[in-house]
Amino acid sequence: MDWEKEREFTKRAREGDEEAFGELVRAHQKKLYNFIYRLCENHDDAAEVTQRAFVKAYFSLRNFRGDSLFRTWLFRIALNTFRNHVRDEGRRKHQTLDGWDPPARERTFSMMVEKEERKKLAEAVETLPERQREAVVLRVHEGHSFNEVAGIMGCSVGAAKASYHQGVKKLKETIGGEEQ
Amino acid sequence: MTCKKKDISLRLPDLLADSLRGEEAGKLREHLETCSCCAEEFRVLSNLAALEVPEPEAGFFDEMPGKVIRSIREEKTASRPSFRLPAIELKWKAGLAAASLAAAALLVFLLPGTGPVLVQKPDNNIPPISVAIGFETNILIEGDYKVSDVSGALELDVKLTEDDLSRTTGAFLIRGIEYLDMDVDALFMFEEELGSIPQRS
Repeated sequence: MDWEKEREFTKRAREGDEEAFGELVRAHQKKLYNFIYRLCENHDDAAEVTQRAFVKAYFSLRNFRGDSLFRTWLFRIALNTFRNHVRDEGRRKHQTLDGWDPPARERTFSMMVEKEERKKLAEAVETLPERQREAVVLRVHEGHSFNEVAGIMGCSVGAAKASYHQGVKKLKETIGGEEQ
Repeated sequence: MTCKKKDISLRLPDLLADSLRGEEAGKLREHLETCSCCAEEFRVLSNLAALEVPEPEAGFFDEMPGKVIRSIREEKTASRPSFRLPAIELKWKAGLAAASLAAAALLVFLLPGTGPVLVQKPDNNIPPISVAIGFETNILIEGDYKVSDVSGALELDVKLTEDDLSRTTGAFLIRGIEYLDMDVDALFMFEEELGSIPQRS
């Protein structure tokens, strides 16, 4: 969806046009679902959070002033919805490296079986602290700039860079490519 | 081995996404040829980016817009009754309270990043006070805070809607007491607290 269309659909949705909002859902749902899946690695949770995030976004549209991309704003709502979901339901699947007892995973990234390094990498991502993982996923998988990452995470650009840097450093260490 | 050029490390995802202009991309690629640390990091990022999310079941994305719209309609038609917050536990902070006793009988503080922390003098004779809590210009919660017992619990009646709880940004306003900026984490901790407490009256 191009910027002009997105703006038009956003305006119509803000006026209560549900079908216009449906078009926005169609345009962004896959990115949003993938983003949340990468944080929780569970389809049911990712599906629930994605749906709830869209509903929240609809009722918050009047607060969207258009000074950021709609997608960035949507990701921010989704991330906050996910953080609440983790807190509310106790479904947190990743913890810090210290004292973490890995749960049995119902499934994980589809390519991990074939290559040992990717398998280790996928497991290492799961063990990253929450903020580091969010920063790495937003930057590497979703292609957001650090300004956008900071906006979505609700932190400063410096903090977003630091979280990303620490996360990548840990991933390198885990797969043995960096000195401890 | 480490590379001191941290700015290069921070831009590697852009190179991976092929979103850099030619000259800038060329400089980064040149650096990767001479710096094993950054080359290793780029390899890790490439493998990371190659990890795919499994496709959900067929029809999942076709059905999502309809599900979202149905949820929106349900929320629109749902009644928005008053909620009663039966009791919110107050936390006693001796240091803060000692400093504030001369100024007010009851103070309410919000500590950035930690969620709302309510601070009060543990005295049962404090009269009710009017409080409004809002995000930006929208008043979300308005009511009288009444200390109910010496344990520090208080009760208030508020009109609170799911819509109110969906706000993502804003400020925390307590009329007549304090005005304090509120960060997103604190806001959602507060939201979570309210979300878990309300009971339909």
